[in-house]
Parts: sequence; structure tokens; C-alpha cells
Amino acid sequence: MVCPKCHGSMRTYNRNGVQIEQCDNCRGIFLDYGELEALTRLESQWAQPAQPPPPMAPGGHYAPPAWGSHGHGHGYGHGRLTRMLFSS
Amino acid sequence: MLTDRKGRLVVRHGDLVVKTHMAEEELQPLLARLRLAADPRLGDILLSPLRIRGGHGGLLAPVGGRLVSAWPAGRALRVDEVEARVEDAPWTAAAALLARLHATDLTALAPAHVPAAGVCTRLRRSLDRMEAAVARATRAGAASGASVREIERLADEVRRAYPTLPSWLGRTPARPGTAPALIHGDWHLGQVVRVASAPASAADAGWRIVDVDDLGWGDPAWDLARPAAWFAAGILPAEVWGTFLGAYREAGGPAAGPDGDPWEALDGPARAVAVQYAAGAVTDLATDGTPFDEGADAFVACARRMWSGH
Repeated sequence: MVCPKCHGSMRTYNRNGVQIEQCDNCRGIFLDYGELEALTRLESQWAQPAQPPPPMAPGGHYAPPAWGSHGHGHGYGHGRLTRMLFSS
Repeated sequence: MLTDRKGRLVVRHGDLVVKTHMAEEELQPLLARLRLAADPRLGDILLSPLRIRGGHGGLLAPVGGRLVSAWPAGRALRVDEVEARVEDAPWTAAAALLARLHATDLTALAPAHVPAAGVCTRLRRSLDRMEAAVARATRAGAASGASVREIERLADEVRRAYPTLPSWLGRTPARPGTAPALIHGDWHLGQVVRVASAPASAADAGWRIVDVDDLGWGDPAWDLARPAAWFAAGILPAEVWGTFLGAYREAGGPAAGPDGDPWEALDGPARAVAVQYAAGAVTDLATDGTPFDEGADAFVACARRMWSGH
């Protein structure tokens, strides 16, 4: 394969099971359809264990538990929701 | 008539409130609970029942096969008032009442006279009621407004969440390895009234807790479980939850330690309450087609996260 940028010759490498073409001349890399996504996926899998734990939500230890709603809540101020505060 | 909830009818006549208790309630534990409510040592926490001449223990009268108790009328909180400004509801006063209830010396009350709180029965009953309602809807072909398939799908979220709860919750009212306290067992904003006759002082603004049908010994975390579940489900603003929990701790409430992460203690009962709310919503949908609202959605979503982990 010829490099589309400098017309040097390209060599095929295998990176974590993903085939990539690199130019011997300008070191440019050519990715086929889906290869960038495959590499990104591999990178995120590798990086995940090293990531710090997610920061505490505002309110510190008043953060909801894992099974709770972690969105912005369902919004307060509906009569039907208020009635829940009065029900068993 | 004030309320007619799940077989418990409450009727007001002038300054008198008469409560009809659930038909299946046994006399002895109910009478023990009313005696606790009538105990002067708990008089500034729980609303005291009125004496009934000739009734069981002077507190319960049999009327048409049901047991009836009598109470002074108090002013209950109104849904529209709380809705207008949820932060203005008496969260601090209610938290202090619960903290003082939980600090009651059980041994001084003669332990034999304190029944087990009704929390386990309440949890199991919510699942039983849901299964019965789903079975009826399945036999009928559907409930109005919801297909059997949809009802089954929602019921499955609850059925799968239930086994993820700590097993002691359905077995014993107190968390194993912890000291039981005197708990209300069914606390929510509908259980707070203000009495006019109370001495108006800074320390006593007249707030009292009513409805002692589940009163007894148990894990005090159960009485914080509903606010905790409302907050967890996104129904109660975080600041209000913070105010309530902070006031409870400030007043010496033992349920969640003096500070730090409250969820270690509250998680089990709060999850159980969320499952109960989800089961109740499925029951109402299957029984009379009551459509799911945001609250029902929120608690079924909680149930789903319990078993699926996300």
C-alpha cells in the first residue's frame, strides 16, 4: 500500500489484534473502517482499573446509595410526588 | 372521614377522632401499643389515646367485629402546604421526636409489654399483596389501562429486587448484633400532627407522632428509611434530607451514628421501603389500573438497579 500523503511505502502492524498501516517514510498511520473505534475501546479497557474512584456527589456523605437515582432527581413539586411523603 | 387507607378507617367528629383498626389485627399486640402511646413518659412524643369506658383496657372498643380507638383531634400536615414549600415541613421537629422515641429506655417500659415492631409483616405483606393483585389481573386478562405483560414485567423488577435485600429484614425487626430501640415502624409525614392543648414552649411546639399500629422494638433505621428512600429515589431534595438527618443526629438519634456515612446503617431498611413502594405501585396498577407516575417509576427504577447493579 502507498501512503496517501507522501507516497512512501506502508507497512502493516498488528496492535492488540487491530491491523494498522504505518508509512515507513512520514510515520503516518492509516486506519481502516472501525479500527480507530477498536483501538479506543482497547485503550479504555486498559485504562479503566487505573482511574480514580468517582468523586462524591455534592452533599458528601449525603450522596444517594448505588441503587438510588443519580440523575438530577425527578424534580420536586408535583402533587403526586408530595403525596408519596404521606404514604406507607 | 379523614382517611380510608388499606382497611384502616379514621373518622373525625369535632374534637374527637375515632380510628377503626385493620380487621386482622390481634387484640393483645394492639392493646400493648395503645398502652405505650398512653404512657405518660412518651406523652410529649406520641399522641395519647383517649380512654374508652368499658373497652378493652379502657383503650379499645369492639364495634361490629372491628377494634376501635379514640384520639384527640390534632392538626395534620396538608399535602398542598408541604408541596408549596417542602423545606418548611416540620422536618427538624419530626426528626427530634423520632430521636427521642428511639432513645426511650426499653427496659424501663417492661420489655414484655413492648411488641415487635410491625416492619417485617409490612414488608412481606407488600409482596404478598402484589402477587395476589398480579394473579387476579392475569386471570381477568388485564387491568384497565395496563396489559398483563406490562404488569408482569414491572412485577418482575420487584420480585428480582426482593432477594437482594438483607435477609434479616423480613425475619426480625432489629438488625442482628445491634441493640433494638422503640420505633414507630411506619413513619411518614402523614404521621405528624400538631395538638392545640400542648403547652406552647420553645421545647414543645405541640408536634406529636400518631398511628401506633406498628409501634414496637426494632432497628431505629426503619423510621428513617422512608425519608432515606425518598431522597435516594430523587423525590426528596438533598438539602431537606440533610436537614432531617442532621436534626435527628443533633437530637441524639441512634439510628445512623453521630456523623459520617449514614448508609451503612440505613441501606437495608431504605432499600426495603423502596421495594415496598414499587410493590405498592404494581399492586395499584394491577388492581384498578392506577397509572404509574414519576414516583412509581422512580421506585421501580431503584428496584431494577438493586438486582441489575446499574
